Amino acid sequence: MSKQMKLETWSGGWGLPSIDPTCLEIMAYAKFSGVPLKIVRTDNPVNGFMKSFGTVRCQLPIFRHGETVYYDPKDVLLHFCKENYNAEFGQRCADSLAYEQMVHTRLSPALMHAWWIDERNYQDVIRPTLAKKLPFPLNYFYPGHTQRWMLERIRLHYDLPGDSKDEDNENWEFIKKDVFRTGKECLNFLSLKLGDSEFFMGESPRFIDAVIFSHLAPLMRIPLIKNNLQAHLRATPNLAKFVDRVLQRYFPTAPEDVPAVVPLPGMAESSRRRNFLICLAGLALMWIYAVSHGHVRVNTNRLKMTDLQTLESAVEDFYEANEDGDQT
Amino acid sequence: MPSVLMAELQAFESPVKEPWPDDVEMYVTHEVEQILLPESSSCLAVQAFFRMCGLRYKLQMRINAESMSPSGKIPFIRCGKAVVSELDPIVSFVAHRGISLTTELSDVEKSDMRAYMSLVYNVLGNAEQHLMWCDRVTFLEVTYPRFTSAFPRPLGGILCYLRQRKMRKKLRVIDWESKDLEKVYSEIDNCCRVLSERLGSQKYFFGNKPTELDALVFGHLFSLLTTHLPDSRLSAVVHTYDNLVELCSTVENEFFQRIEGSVSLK
Repeated sequence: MSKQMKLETWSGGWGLPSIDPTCLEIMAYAKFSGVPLKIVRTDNPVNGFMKSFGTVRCQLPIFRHGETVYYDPKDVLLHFCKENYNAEFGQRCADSLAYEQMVHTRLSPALMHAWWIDERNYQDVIRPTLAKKLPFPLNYFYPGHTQRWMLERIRLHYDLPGDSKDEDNENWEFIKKDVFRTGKECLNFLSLKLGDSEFFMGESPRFIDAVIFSHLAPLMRIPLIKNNLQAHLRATPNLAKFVDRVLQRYFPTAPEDVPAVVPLPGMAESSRRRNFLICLAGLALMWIYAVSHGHVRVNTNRLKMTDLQTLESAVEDFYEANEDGDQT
Repeated sequence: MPSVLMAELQAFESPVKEPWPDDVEMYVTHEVEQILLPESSSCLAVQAFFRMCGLRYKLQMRINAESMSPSGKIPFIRCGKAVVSELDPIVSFVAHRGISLTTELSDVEKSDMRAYMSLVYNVLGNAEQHLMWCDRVTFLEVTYPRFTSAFPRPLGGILCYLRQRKMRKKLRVIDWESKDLEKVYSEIDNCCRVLSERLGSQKYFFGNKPTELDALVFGHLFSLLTTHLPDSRLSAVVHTYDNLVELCSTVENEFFQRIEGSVSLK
């Protein structure tokens, strides 16, 4: 294909190529199957302004290939398959689909809870990390918006009534326990499945390895303040080794050391435009300050006064002339 | 999906050595005129599980079974002082009594079984909910009359629309609401293909003895095959997988023969 496939993602940290599981999944699968995918670490979810019925959601990753744009990792992987990069996804074996669902139902809620619901993790790690990555106005409301969205997901998953988080502490306490219990169970199952082999299905990494890696790597590497699951994962040597193995083989350079983005021509242009806008905004601010504090006087008032005066005298002249006319 | 009130389960820490009591009751809504597809699947799955374990139970049909259940979902069982609802908690409750179908499985097989069970819950369960609450034709022709049959006139309608709003919201956060019918059918087809591949030519999923997974798959597929919906493509999709249909009829013949008036497979 003439057009290059591009993926806009969250940037990395703590030795990960990206901090987000969904981005990691696509990146890992692309690496495993040799897809020439260009990774652009934009950290700007507004580019993917997606309207789904009733809710407006902005999210990363965004996959672009010519005119086609996808947000869902499943669509992206199917697209790779259509481009003949790997036939494995189309006819992947039954087990990997089942394990994928297990990771999504059992491990994802635990990750979600640790990141977004646990107040200390969110305030001290997740929120600052995202705020640092996001561009200017977004960093103030995007993390909070996502947190509310995740809260809603967990609440509906457990059939909780009410809207506020503190409404029913007992329930949240239970949810916390339940989420970690299922997450732990899932880790145990995965560890049993992996056994002593290098990858989950045979000698080479497949689709299922990408899914599992993308959930385990953030769990292991991102230093959260309170995370029972992380301790459990570190205590499971074969899974920990699996994560290290994938990171070493397929993402050898620590991404923080490398300049994150090779600036594209388009991006250079956009940054020039941004600089110009910033300068303009600065100048405007300075001007407003100077005017409002009286350092620079704009003689609009005086102009108006003289205008009024001339108008008044003109009206007076007119009346006088009329009165003269009436008298005659 | 697990529920908050399931916390009571945590109380059963040590295995109980008592024999299975005679007065265990399983509560469901009325099968013929009231029950909906997703509920019918889970009721059948739990019944199949009990029959596979050889446990006695009395089936109780109540119009308000859902309101009686601790988690708001049917079926639930009453065993002495304990009230437990849904398949997973019931399986672990029964396991605490020392009764299990999976003792002979290896660890890897156990985790495989869990993975396939998540697949069935996630794909078939959500697809059934989607058909019932998001597809307009099915909602008006099947869900609405069945749901409202249990309540007096204006109340039923109001409750039905409230439930629909809740279910749609629930499906929206997991990205299922926006799927169209074609996509839902292809998801079901995909799931059946995976199950069929795993089953192969075996009698049950893990050799010659049934497990929870067989009970769960039977519950869902049997409901899909025998429920009459406006769109008959659903049972056609399942019918394309011979070994799954075979599994359903095996389970039905071996464990459900004594049910009077049960619908049989063709």
